[in-house]
Amino acid sequence: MIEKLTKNIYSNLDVISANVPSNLNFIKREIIFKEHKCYILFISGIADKNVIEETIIKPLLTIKNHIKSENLLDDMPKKYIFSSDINVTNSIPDICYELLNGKTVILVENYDTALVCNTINDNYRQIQESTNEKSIYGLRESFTENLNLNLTILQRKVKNPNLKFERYIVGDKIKTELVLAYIDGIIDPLVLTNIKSKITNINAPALISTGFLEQFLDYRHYNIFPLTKSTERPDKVVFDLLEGKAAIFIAESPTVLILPATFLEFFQGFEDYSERTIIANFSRIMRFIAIITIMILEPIYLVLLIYNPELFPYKLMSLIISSRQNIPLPPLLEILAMDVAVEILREGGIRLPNPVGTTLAIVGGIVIGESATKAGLVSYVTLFIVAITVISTFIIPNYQMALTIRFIRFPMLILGQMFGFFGLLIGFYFSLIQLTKLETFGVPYFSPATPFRFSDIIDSIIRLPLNKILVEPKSLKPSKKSPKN
Amino acid sequence: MFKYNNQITKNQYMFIIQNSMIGVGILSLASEVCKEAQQSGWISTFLGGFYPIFVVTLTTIIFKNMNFNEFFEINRRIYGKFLAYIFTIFFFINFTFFTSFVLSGFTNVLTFSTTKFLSPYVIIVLTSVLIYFTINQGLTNIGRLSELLFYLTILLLIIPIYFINKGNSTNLLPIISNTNSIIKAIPKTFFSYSGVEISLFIIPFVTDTKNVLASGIKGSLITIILYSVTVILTISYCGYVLTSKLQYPLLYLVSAADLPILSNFEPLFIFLWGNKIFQTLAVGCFGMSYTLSFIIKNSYNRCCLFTCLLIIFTSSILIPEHNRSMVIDIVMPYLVYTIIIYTLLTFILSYLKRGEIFEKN
Repeated sequence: MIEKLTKNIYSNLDVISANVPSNLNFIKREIIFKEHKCYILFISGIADKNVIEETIIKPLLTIKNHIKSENLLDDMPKKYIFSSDINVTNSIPDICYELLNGKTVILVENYDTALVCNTINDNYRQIQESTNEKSIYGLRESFTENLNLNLTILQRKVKNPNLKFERYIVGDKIKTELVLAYIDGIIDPLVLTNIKSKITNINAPALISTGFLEQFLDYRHYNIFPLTKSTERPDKVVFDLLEGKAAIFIAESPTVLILPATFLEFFQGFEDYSERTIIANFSRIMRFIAIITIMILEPIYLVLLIYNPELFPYKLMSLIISSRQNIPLPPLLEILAMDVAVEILREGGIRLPNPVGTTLAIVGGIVIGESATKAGLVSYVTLFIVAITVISTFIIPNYQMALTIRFIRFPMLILGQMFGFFGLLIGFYFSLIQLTKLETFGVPYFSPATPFRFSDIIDSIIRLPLNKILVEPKSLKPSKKSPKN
Repeated sequence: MFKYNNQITKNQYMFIIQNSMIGVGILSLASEVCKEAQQSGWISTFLGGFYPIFVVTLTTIIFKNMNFNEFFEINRRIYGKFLAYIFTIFFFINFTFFTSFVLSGFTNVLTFSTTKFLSPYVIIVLTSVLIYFTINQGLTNIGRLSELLFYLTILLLIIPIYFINKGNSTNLLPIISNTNSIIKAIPKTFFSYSGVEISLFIIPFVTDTKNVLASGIKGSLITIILYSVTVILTISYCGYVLTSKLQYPLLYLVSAADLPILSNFEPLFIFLWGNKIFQTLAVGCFGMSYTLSFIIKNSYNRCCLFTCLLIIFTSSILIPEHNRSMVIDIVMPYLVYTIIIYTLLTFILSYLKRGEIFEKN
């Protein structure tokens, strides 16, 4: 591919045409300006036709243009074109990329440079309330698919001269624009360097969403723990930027990736900071109880049933024996069957339209539970244990982490079935090994619990009053002198 | 091969020291001391805490005198290359015995309590695999895990405290049974406190060595207090006669509760204690791999693999509890006294050489 424009306008036109999608939308409008042949190139739909007509074509055709000009490309943006954002370039790949972004290119006969005017069509979905992340006290607005609008929303909220935006183009097959946002002076330089180097080393054909980006930023492809958070809510991004994190916006995506994210913060609800201290702590403690419940309640029940029934107290034992009489399935299959049914219902609920999905989850849950116990396939106690576990998963505020924790109970069940209590022990310890080994952009994943930082831990498992915790977390500053590991 | 990192924080050093000692000894300690010191066994346990404090204090002073160089380098400068090599081999053997005693003891306890159905060899192999994953990325990861598992130590202490009102204080009276028997029982506590020698190997990796002595002493004190409290509560609940006759009196104590959801604390205790045992084993295996990498001049990662295979073999030999007890009774006093003599001698020599300028290598 020829990289630079030449003075031959037809050859330039051919090369550009060959490198943009050859469809009917690609418009090549020919005009004569000051006795020079010009071509106005744009992709209809992505570029705003009305803007092009009003700010480029109309002035060029109507303004008296018989006065000769020494440098036409210099005069055009200064005297004739009304567009507020104009660049001059001679790079054909840049021209093709900008055309695909919705910009308009003006080629002029006998010139080996072109003008690129911003005529991007901003007809995107309007700012709405997030449907995925409901808020009781927070803002009612969420990000949209329009990257520039998203950056504007953020800028409007962070009135700080140190707020920085850095643009990156990523993707071999489909070029995608990313914007890295951070507050200079708050973010740790080591973390920032790590993030930038990871972004520049991304080797992906395309980045369709933040989920793709998240996986390309983590070289441990089989790691199950999320190292970044994603959100649609600007207030959450602002809060995290102030804590010394960075946010990555992707063009055409309403979700923003926040990084680095440590393990404990996945269990902190954003609403916690709007609640009174005691109430917020109660919610947090409930969440940690929920995690333990999800991970070990079913496996412990299984182990007690199979290997250690003597550890049930007498009264509970008689209840369990009576509920398990004539149950044909072994305990593992019984639990797995109910778990799989719940997972199918959950997956079905997500795919279906919202009201139908909710109905399916409720009706499906009741019908399957009732019919399984009536048919004598599953005992009432097992159903109760599975139900408690499933309900506990809804308490985890972050969807990605909820999925991970939910997944962990399956290997735990298998380990419990194979090795009893010892299996649960090795499963738990192995999870801890994995968690402590992980680092997210230079920050230990289990910080501030390890390495221990008292000033940060007071906003982890518990939450102290706001005046004590609203400081920049030291655990997100690995380049500072104090504890390194 | 995995990349490994050995740097630890002062806090992590404290928790490694604290964790390195909590092994099988916690279960049988009360029985051992009560055989000699009767109801005053807890005093022997407390006084036995002299051993870890002695080791961490002298270690810190030795390394301060020698500018916090690594263990092998310090020995080379004090004793010469040949003796440094011999001492490294001695500590490798010491850690091999230590980890084998702990792993075989852990296996015996599991097959005695909650996991009766499982072959002891399966437990040994699975535990060794787990330990390999813990140590293959170096001391940093062990430090992080120790820090995290410290919170479990608190829970481990809370379980016996449940029995604080259920015991009988007259079981502890008279407080001092016999001074001679109390002193005689002190060496019996050394097995429970062994593992603390790891401080000789990890102290050069502490990033901030200011007040590192205080961290070592704090780590030792936590374990000393934990041991003393569990022994007091066991004696007060069971009386010294029953305590001295039981194999694992603490396990007996925790299984004596009557709870609404689980019949007793035993599974919870085994769960918490098991995690601490993994950590103790990881510390011991780190000591083995680290010394072995100096002895055979091979990479640390490869040595981790060798050591895990070695402890599978040595622990399997010690499997019946009577074998293990017999070997401990024979070997442990020699190991402990040699370490005390070595530490004292190195302390004196390092003190004499402290004026010489040593650069950190």
